[in-house]
Amino acid sequence: MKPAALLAVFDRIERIACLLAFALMAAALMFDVGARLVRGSGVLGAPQAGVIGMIAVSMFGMGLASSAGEHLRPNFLDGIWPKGWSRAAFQAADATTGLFFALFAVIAALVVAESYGLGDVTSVLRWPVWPLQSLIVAAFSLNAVRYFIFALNPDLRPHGIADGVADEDVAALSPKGEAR
Amino acid sequence: MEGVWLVVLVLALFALRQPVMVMLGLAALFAYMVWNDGDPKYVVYDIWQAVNKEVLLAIPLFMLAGAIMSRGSIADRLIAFLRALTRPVPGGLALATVLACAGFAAISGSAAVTLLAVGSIMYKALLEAGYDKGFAIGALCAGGVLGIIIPPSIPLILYGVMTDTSIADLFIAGLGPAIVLVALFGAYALTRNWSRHEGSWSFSEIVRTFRRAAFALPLPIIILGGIYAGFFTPTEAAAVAVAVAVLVEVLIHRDLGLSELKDVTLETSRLLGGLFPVLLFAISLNIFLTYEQTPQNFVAAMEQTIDSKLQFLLMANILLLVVGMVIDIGSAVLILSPLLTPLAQSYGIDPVHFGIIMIVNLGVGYLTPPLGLNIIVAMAAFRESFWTISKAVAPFILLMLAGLILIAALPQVALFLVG
Repeated sequence: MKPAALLAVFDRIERIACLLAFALMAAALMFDVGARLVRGSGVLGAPQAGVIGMIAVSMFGMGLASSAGEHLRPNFLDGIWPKGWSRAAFQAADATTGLFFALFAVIAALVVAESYGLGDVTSVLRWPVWPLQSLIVAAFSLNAVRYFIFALNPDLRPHGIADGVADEDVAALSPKGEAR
Repeated sequence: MEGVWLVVLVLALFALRQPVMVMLGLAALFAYMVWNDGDPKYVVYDIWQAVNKEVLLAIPLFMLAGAIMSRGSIADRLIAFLRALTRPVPGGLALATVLACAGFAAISGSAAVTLLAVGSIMYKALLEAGYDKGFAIGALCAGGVLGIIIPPSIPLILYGVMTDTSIADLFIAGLGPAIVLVALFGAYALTRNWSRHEGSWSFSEIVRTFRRAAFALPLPIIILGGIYAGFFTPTEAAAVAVAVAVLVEVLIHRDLGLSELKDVTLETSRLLGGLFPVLLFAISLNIFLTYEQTPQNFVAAMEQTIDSKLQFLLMANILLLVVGMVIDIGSAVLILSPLLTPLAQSYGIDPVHFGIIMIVNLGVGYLTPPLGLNIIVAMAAFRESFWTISKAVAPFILLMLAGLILIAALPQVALFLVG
């Protein structure tokens, strides 16, 4: 599979996961507030279900932010590299970020194994913790691969707000999605 | 010696163009490996503990509600009504711009979104009415900053999470400073444009625009009034905000279809994906620092060198202004609030008051070169040079600093409704 196609698959997985998780989070909280207003008490476990949705959105949303180049980055030291080195500097940056994600994916996998071994469960809903913690492993792994692809194929790298504003950034923020 | 290595590591990461998330993650890992018992798993356990907080649910939900309302026609309807109301006032369109930013800020919670939502309509209108371009750009950039000061404000939620301060109290305390800033911006807008006349009141226009805005106008009252009156927690208010936003924009105004709702949700997920990892690693680092009693040691060390509350406020504000110029507000709040708030408390400053000072101060950073986010966004939105926009925002930076001094000197401005 070509790198661009692989990135598109990652993007699709993360988009679907974010939509489902956001729907779960919003629905759980709205039902909870609605029930509290109507019958005076919330829905058992609804806030916890909302939290699970939030965990999934934050983890898979991280991938969407990566593919849009939207991770917050101070760029005031960008000028220390000679102008001609810009491409190489971004390749080195992406390789470093990829290593960071790979490192944390491994550490998170160790935590998941530990939780599985101990039989940890969530509060109220009493669900096993390890499948939920696995979301961290999955999200970090996808990002590690994504950044290694960026490092090897700089043309696929997105340039976000920290690298100078592109029209699509403004379009994404603006009402009706119009770039002006 | 280990501290020096940590500084070298962070500087190397800056030079290697790494995101804030990577710096915080590696700093937390370094801290646990070098100063603790060397188990890297603690960082992930901290992340898990951090993300498992119900209070954090307010952030994605307020962001989604703001995004839905930004995509719909709420800004357009709000502006039309305010223009009709301020028409006979000299410089009324300038005043309407400031008030529209304030009104939209009470819904969006974001500076850049407020700037773009109001700016997309008002910039052209101001120029067509003969207003100075510099004033128009400055007013819209500064008005956008109200988005993070007027509740619901994401930076205020982050401050509350990091310092264990009541988010409801922070929201309530944000109201007074917001009124001060709106009054300062409004007074400047009127003074500078006093010679401009738009026309006279038209009763039919007011009624027509009011009817169009009838569902948009009560939104801030429902969302914030619910919190102020104690009907909702901030998290519940955020869920209500999403429900109301969908109801108004999809079912009543019919400005958003399901496919646009999907796009808005994905955009919000992307923004969250940029914010949450920073938040989680910052909390991990904060848990470590708290465990090692670093804030207490920092307070003890600072008390040796800082003699008075005034000196502390001066020092803290200068530090925050400098930091706000080079780091985004979210990261600055996450990194600095756990260290500065205990110090502020040791000088008798209420943590809610200090939180407001911090957000207003860092809000100035949206307008200051080299990295002011609203300057960068305005460059693309209004197709103007960095220098033009930097000059345009200069008077508003002074107004914000005047407001900041007032807010810092008079705690009642923030605290008069709290408790």
